[in-house]
Amino acid sequence: MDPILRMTGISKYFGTFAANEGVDFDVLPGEIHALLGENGAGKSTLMNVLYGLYRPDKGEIWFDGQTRHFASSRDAILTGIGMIHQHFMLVPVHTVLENIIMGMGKEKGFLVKEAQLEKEVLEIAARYGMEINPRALVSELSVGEQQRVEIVKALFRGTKLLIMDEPTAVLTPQETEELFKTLRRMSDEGMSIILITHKLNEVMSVSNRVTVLRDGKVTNTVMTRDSSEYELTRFMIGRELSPACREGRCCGDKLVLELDHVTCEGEMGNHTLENVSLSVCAGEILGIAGVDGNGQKELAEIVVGLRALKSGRIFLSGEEIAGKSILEIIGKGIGYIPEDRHKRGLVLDFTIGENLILKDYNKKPFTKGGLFDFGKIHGHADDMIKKYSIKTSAAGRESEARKLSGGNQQKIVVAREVDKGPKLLIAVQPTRGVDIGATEFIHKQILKAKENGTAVLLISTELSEINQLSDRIAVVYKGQIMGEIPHEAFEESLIGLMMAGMTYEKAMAANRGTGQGTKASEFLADGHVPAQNAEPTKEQVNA
Amino acid sequence: MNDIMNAAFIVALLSAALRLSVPILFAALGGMFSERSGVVNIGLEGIMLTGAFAGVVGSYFTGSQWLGALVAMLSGIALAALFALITVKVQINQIVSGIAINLLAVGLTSFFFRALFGITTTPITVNAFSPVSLPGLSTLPFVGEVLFSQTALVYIAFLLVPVSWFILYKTSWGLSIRTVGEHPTAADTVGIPVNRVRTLCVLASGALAGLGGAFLSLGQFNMFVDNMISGRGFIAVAAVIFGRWNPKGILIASLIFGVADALQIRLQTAGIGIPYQFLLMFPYLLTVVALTGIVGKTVAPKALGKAYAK
Amino acid sequence: MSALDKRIKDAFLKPGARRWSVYSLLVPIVSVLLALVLGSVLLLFIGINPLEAYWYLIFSNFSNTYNIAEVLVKATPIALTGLAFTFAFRTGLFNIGGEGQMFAGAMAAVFVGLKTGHLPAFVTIGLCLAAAIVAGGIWGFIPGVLKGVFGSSEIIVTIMFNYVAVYLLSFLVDKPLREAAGFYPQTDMIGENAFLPFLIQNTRLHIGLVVAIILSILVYVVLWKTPLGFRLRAVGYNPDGAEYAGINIRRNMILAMVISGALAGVAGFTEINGIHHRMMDNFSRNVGFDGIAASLLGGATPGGVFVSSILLGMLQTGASAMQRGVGVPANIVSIIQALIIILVLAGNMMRPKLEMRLKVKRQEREEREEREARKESQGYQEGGTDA
Repeated sequence: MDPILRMTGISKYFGTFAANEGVDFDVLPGEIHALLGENGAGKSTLMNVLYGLYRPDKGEIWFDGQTRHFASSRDAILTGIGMIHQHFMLVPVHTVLENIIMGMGKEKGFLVKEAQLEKEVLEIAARYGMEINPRALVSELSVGEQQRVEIVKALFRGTKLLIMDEPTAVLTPQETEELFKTLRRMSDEGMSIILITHKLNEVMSVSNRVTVLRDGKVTNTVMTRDSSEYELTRFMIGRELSPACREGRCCGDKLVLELDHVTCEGEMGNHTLENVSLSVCAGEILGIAGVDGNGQKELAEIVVGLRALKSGRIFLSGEEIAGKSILEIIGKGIGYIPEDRHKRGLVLDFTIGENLILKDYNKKPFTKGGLFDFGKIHGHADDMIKKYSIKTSAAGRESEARKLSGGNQQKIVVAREVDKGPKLLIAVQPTRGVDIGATEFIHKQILKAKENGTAVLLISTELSEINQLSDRIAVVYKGQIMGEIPHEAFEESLIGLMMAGMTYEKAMAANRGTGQGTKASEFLADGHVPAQNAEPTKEQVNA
Repeated sequence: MNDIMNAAFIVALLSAALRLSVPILFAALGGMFSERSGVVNIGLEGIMLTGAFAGVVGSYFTGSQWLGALVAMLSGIALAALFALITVKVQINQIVSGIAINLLAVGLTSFFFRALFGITTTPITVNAFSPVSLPGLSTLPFVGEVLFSQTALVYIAFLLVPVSWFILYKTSWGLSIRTVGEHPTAADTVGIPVNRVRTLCVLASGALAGLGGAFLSLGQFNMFVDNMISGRGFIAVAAVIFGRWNPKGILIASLIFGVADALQIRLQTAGIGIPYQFLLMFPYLLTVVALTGIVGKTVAPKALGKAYAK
Repeated sequence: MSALDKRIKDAFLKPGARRWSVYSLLVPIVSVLLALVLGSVLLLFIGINPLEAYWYLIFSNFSNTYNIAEVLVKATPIALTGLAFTFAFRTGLFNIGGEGQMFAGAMAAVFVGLKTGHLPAFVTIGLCLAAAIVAGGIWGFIPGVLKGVFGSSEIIVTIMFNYVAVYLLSFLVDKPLREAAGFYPQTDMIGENAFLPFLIQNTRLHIGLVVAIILSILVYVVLWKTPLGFRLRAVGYNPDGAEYAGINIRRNMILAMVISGALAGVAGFTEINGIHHRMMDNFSRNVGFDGIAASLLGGATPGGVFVSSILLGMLQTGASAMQRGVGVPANIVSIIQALIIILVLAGNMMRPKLEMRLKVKRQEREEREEREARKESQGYQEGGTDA
């Protein structure tokens, strides 16, 4: 059978950096082809080239019978290539229908004939077994439903080759199964699918072939059924990983953080946290697992003081801190690695030195008599750069944070928050958008903090990270805690059920009944660590 | 005091209010298209000034106020083209660019006015718009005089409201514009040319603001004076916010400012004892008050103010 | 790479040093020249020889002491309103109300000057200055509070308050503060002791210039060398990050607007006590906007603002000479001014791309030189071009 897509010798350079070099990649009709590789390996670049967002410096693209030169994504769409990005390209304030038909003025006419278009949309969705409501506002849909809208959007445009970028990053394990069912149905109907992912178990379960990228080049292309997760990991990183190991457990008597029936309200009046009770001891890591958007962000924010409670109490070493100002709370010894370092963690236009003193700029020794003591500030910066292996540009400590890679930016945040040995460390998605080397380093720092007696609240959507580091794991769903699991009882299917709304007891029962889960725990027990989440940022690619 | 409350006064007031809301309405509708696509146009004031000037020049040299209005629109488009170049292409901060455009417009209009007409004390007379009474409708009591005996530009302005509404909400153009303003990256991925849409919307805002300026010089004051826009362009920007970026709201906002302006003028001549300077302040203070009551942030187009770079 | 090359390269990359490197001066210089060229097109349009016109524009400023002093006289209030815009800008706010804040300062200064002008100079001048600072601060406080509490666009509010200030001033010179003789809409002269002493005899240059210089230095120190400035800049760059650092966004925004307004208010003081010695309708119009222009040209730094305001002062003084000498309407200068701003802004945007391209070219050239040097040392004979 002839491939529907053939990319030959694709190279793309950013300055002197080769994001892709001599890549050969093809897809057969009706095939689900996984594109595997860690952060910065070049998967996104390759797909952006295919989708017309980048022009390749070398190489050719041959699609559906002809050689193609895409000047823009519009060209790619017109020939039948569709892409679903990890961050959905949907407008929240528009309806589902508006999102599906946007940009199709030429094909569907100047006037928007709503009734007619609604009918067409429902027909296409039904053909692939998907449920959809054209009149709903996208902002009101769940993440799984939004993804469905993205898929219908691609189908509506006559897509023949669908590229999906990390589609399961935001789904529960059950929603993932739903998605895979849909993908298999689409593949049966002749749709070709490229699946960009780093999750090995998913590659194994749904793809026909796998291509592995490393450092911008293709290392292997194999039939999925002829390979294994272990082999694929070796292809991806070319060496064995030495994951940070967790030792020891919670002692139980030195209680640092306690949340007592905390409820918190969101912008629309709904409860983003509902009756949450938690405790974290000194020298313990409590991992909070859950799908993004179930209250994790709010949980971190109410402890730090960025958000107000509606009811309930929060205690830090026995002292009540709800309602206090951020300045006071930080002053009591809390470190916070925020989810979005660009927003909360750093001031990108400040230098490394300035960012390192972001919380202490007003205190001695950095300020004396109303003026800055630059000697102390610079000295402190040099120390931290050395201790935390922060790679700077040629300007050294005067580099603007904006110019550093994601991993080094995060190291600045970690250095600032962890170095003073806080009583409590709250880490939210600490390794999102961070390369593998820095990820290992940050994990080691978190464990070091724990060994030094810091209580750690680790909030992450990366189950592998939670499993690696946590002593106990709590699962959050729609603002409620579904249950707490001691580390030895951790099983991915168990957690998956809880992430989807089952309480611990029910999930245990369900798990036992169906006999699921053995494969997952076996895999994890072998010490396998899948590569990290998130796409490389522009800075990283250009770095 | 008695003259204020009688019917004739109110009719005259409302008729004037309608007229005075028109320049703001034109400029605000233009501003709406621009902002809906994500570009804040603070330069509306300067574009209106340019339009006022060009309208007078056009009418003077061609003898036709309609051609004058056309020249005004073209000049508005030209200035807006410069604005689009520096904000959409070169991607300089939109606020700062708007300020620069205003400064340029002030300089250009006063320079060319003196260059063309010399320094005179008597105002240049041009053919201006005169009121057009709509047959039949204008004989209706009360409503007739207020609504149906206005100059042609007034009718055009008010017609523009439902037309804008239709374009924005019922056509694929409008959907593209709104998408670009909310989520330019999403628009890009479905092939909508983001920067082209923004440029066209900015040009449209230039045409409309130019027309609004021409209304002041050709349909109201019948002359051109330095800085004659007196802040109406900025009030128009406020009207877009106050009107929540949709034509209906903007119409209401413009009418409110029109009433305030008309009221302030009438009160001056009615001699109610307040120094006229304080009456002149009224529309500006009203704008400030209007801006305090609005939850502008949650309703504004999400990508407003940010240049789009791939 | 030679040692000199290396030093240039390092100078390139250090953020502080970069401000004064060759490339950063290139943009303003080229912009001014280009704007003059475009201006000459307009001059030709009205039949004037551009070279003749520009001769007057530029060199009249240096022709005698009086003119040099005039440049500085014009530059003083521009520098102050420019500082005002800069200060707010660094906190992420656009204070377009420099004009109105200056008037507020002027109104307060005139009032105090009229009432206390008989007291010893030290006292009355001090009181006038204080009044101007307070009044300007209040005129900046109101938009600041509205922004902080209601989120109202400070751009529109400050512009509206410009008009309010103009009309308020018009009212004051019309009725309550009108001169005793009653002919013109202007106040009486303020008491003689409130006049600012001259720096150079037989010119109009007064110590207001010194005040402007001192305030420029003060603004620099506060913004870059103190915790307060750190807070304000953090809020300007990233309010979310600043919030996490415990910085109160609202309070700092209001503070920035108050200080900004106060700076512009001082401009009102220098104009009243230093130049006009009374207040009249239409006094010192457009100084506020010139200040914004100076700030944009000067890259929103105190040093840049000061230099730019001198440039603008030169343009304005030169423009009157040009009008007298060649008959060109003086307001061509506002066109040139606006063009300079647009070109400088555009040039600054394109500078990083240009520098990156130059850097890559240099890198490639170095790599090529290295390779050739290596080949030579191996005694390798090359026939043909490098791959």
